[in-house]
Amino acid sequence: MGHRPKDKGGYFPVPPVDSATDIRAEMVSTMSEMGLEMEKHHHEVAPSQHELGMKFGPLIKSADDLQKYKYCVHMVAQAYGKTATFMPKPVYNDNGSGMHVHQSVWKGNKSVFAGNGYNGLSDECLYYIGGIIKHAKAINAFSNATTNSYKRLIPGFEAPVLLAYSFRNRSAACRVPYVSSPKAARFEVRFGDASGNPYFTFASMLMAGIDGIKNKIHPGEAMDKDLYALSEEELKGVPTVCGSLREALDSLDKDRDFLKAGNVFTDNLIDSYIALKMDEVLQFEHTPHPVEFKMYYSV
Amino acid sequence: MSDISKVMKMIKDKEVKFVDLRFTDTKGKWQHTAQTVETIDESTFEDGIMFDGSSIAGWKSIDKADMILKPDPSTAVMDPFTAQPQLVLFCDVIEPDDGKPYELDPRSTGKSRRIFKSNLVLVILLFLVLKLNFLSLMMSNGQLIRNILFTVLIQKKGHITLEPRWKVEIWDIDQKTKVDIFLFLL
Repeated sequence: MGHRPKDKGGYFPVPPVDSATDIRAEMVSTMSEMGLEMEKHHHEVAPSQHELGMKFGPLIKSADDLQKYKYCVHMVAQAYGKTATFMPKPVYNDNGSGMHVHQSVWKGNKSVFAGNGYNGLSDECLYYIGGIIKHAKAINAFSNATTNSYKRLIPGFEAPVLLAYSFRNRSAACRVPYVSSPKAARFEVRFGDASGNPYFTFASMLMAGIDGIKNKIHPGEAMDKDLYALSEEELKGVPTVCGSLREALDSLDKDRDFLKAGNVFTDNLIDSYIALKMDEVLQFEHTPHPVEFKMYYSV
Repeated sequence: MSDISKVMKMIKDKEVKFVDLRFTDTKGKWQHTAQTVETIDESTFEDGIMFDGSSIAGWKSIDKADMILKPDPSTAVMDPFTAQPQLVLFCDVIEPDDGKPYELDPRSTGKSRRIFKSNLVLVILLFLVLKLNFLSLMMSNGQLIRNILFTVLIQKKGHITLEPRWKVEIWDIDQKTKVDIFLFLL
């Protein structure tokens, strides 16, 4: 007998059922030592799945911090004789691991996202969301940068597949969290994971948002219901994220102009990124997979 | 005190032995190369350190391999994991020919300065809050996660490492037959 989490029961009983409090605490305190502003840690739903939350910061600092974050997680896990992975879906039929990116845009000391519209948001914020939703499939090439990413982005498992935005609804790809002060006005992109390049991921989201503001791309009405409970008919009109890395690279190839504004991304960069990632797609597609032995060995 | 003076003071105060220069490759992996502390002075932040960029996937061809790592002094931080005192510095990657940021350097692409300069719609700062999940595969005590079709173990000489050497176990439906396949990458 022992104190073990039940199926999907990791979220979040106290120790000894949660046996990883010390390891998470050490990760958090080491990150603090390296200059990250950490906010929390807790066990997640799946077995051995954990969440550590860090505070907001400007784009480049957040990307730098992410590299330190992953370094600390890998190193502390190793020191405890364990190993940690940021693979988005390491275990079949269980919850995947994502990276939720909360975003807000500031002009001086004032949030541009605070306003009088939906849930205290400004028109600029809605347009920003519109830009993200419009360019989401191209963003996927950076924010969901591995073949494994698309094993997480499937319906169920609380995975945000549907490109809609919503107030407090965690099933939408873009969520507008409830906040008590205008300063905290923000929204959250939920489809990304930590398997890619954070500099490209954050920059591509920002470029999409800016494109939305420039061109006043309205994201339509919010979907304040459980998106997983929608009927087939209702689902038809809702766009989705990409279903594979191949589709994402193809989308990036076709929808790249918003990234090239002001030479932030260049054709050379995008082309070499696609070529590099296409190698992974081909290696993955060409390799006989263990599950193919299960399905086809005795054909 | 300037950022550079702060780094030099930090090197002295913390008795730093190595300065680890770090940058991110196209795929997002953090890369590093360590310099002995004797090779670092104020001019390092101006001139940078040469390295071979041809071995980074997707970067330079071998005939144009030389590139410069230019440390960002505002990023200096002690590495909490090293046995000998080591200072970590994030670097931008610079073209030796013209001294400009390398086109494929992700950190330069993400530079908010570049983005905001090109989009004069708003004077903005983007704030990000990150929440990440990771899975720690509890393997040291032999507990493997249940209900899985296959498990990826990364082991070397009995120790768990992060090296890319995979052992993939395939379970038959009835879980009686087990097939091991070893995949050696590299």
